[in-house]
Amino acid sequence: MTQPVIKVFKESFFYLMVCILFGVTANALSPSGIRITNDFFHLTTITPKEPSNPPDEGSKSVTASSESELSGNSPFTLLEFHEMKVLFEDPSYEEGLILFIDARNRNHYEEGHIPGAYRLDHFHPEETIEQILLQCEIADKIVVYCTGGECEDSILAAGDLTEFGIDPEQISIFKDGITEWQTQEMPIDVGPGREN
Amino acid sequence: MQHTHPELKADMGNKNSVALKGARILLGGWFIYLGMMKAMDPVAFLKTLNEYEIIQNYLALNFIAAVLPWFEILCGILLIAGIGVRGISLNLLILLTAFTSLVFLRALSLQSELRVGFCDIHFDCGCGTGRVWICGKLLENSALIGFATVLVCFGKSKK
Repeated sequence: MTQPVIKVFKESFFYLMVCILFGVTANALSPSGIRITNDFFHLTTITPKEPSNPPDEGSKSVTASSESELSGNSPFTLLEFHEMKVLFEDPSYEEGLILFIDARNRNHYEEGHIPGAYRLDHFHPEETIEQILLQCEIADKIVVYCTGGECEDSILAAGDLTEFGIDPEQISIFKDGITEWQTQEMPIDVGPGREN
Repeated sequence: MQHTHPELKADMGNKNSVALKGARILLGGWFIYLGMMKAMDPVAFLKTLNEYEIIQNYLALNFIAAVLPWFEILCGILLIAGIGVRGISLNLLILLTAFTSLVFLRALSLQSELRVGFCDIHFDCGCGTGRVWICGKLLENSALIGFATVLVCFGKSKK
C-alpha cells in the first residue's frame, strides 16, 4: 500500500519541479512577463512637504503609498474633472509645460487615452520611462491618471516618478481617471499615441 | 451467471476508463483555460493576489503570479496527454484545496465588510475567470477537487 503512495508523491514532486521550471522560463520569455525581483507594492519613501499655497477647492492630499487608497498625507494633489479640463485646454499643455501620464498598460492605453498623454506602466516602466523623464524636464506640472475608482496605478506611477527624482509637488493625480473623462465626452485618442 | 461475469467486468472497466479519461480532459482543459487567462495578463493576477494580503514577501508574491499561470497550463497539457496523471493530479489537488480555502476566507471577509448574503458576493477571485459569484465558484472548485481526487486514486498514465 505504501509503495504506490510513495510513487505518487515522487511523481508529484518530479512534475512540480518540471512545471515550475517551465513557468520560470515562460515568464522570462513572455513580453507581458513579471520581473520577479521588483517590489511593485512597496511604500514609497516620500516625505510630505508643507504646501506653499492652500490646496484648491476640490483638491486634497493623497498618500504616495502603493498599497493604498487615496487618503493620508503626501505631496500629491488630487484633481477633479473640472480642474483636469482646465489644464487640458490650457495652451501650456500643447507646449509640453503640462504633462499628462496614463498609468495603465499598453492595451488599455491604445484602446483610448487623453490626447497627448504619455504612458507609464508601473509594472513595465522600462518601456517608456526614458521618454517620460525627458518630457518631465520641460514640464512644470505633471498629472497622472488611470481608470479611476479603485485603480491605484496612478499612485504607483507617481511614486515611480518621484523615485526618478521628480519633485512630488509637481505631480497631481486625476482621481476619477479615464472613466470620468469618457463619461464627460471629452476627446479620446486611440492607438499608440505618443509612443509612435 | 458465470458467463456474464467477465463481460460485465470488461464493460465496467471500459466505463471506468471512459470516466477517467473524461475527468482528465475536463480537469486538464479547465486548467489550460484558467492558466491562459492569467498568463495573458499576469499583472492583473499579481494585483488580485496582493489584495488577499496573505503573502507579505514580494519575491514570493511575484514568483507565484509569474509562474502559476504557466504551471497550470503545462499541468493541463500533460494531464490531457495522459502523462504523469496521478502525480500531476496530486499537484492540482493541493493547489485547488489551497486556493479554494483562500477564496472562501476572502469571501467571508468580504461578507463581513459588505454585510450581504454569502452567495451574493460577486468578486474577482484571481482565478482567471474575472468576477464570479462565490457559491458558484465554490461548487465549481468542489467538482474539480472531486475530479482531481479520483485521478489521484485511480488515474493511469499512458505507457
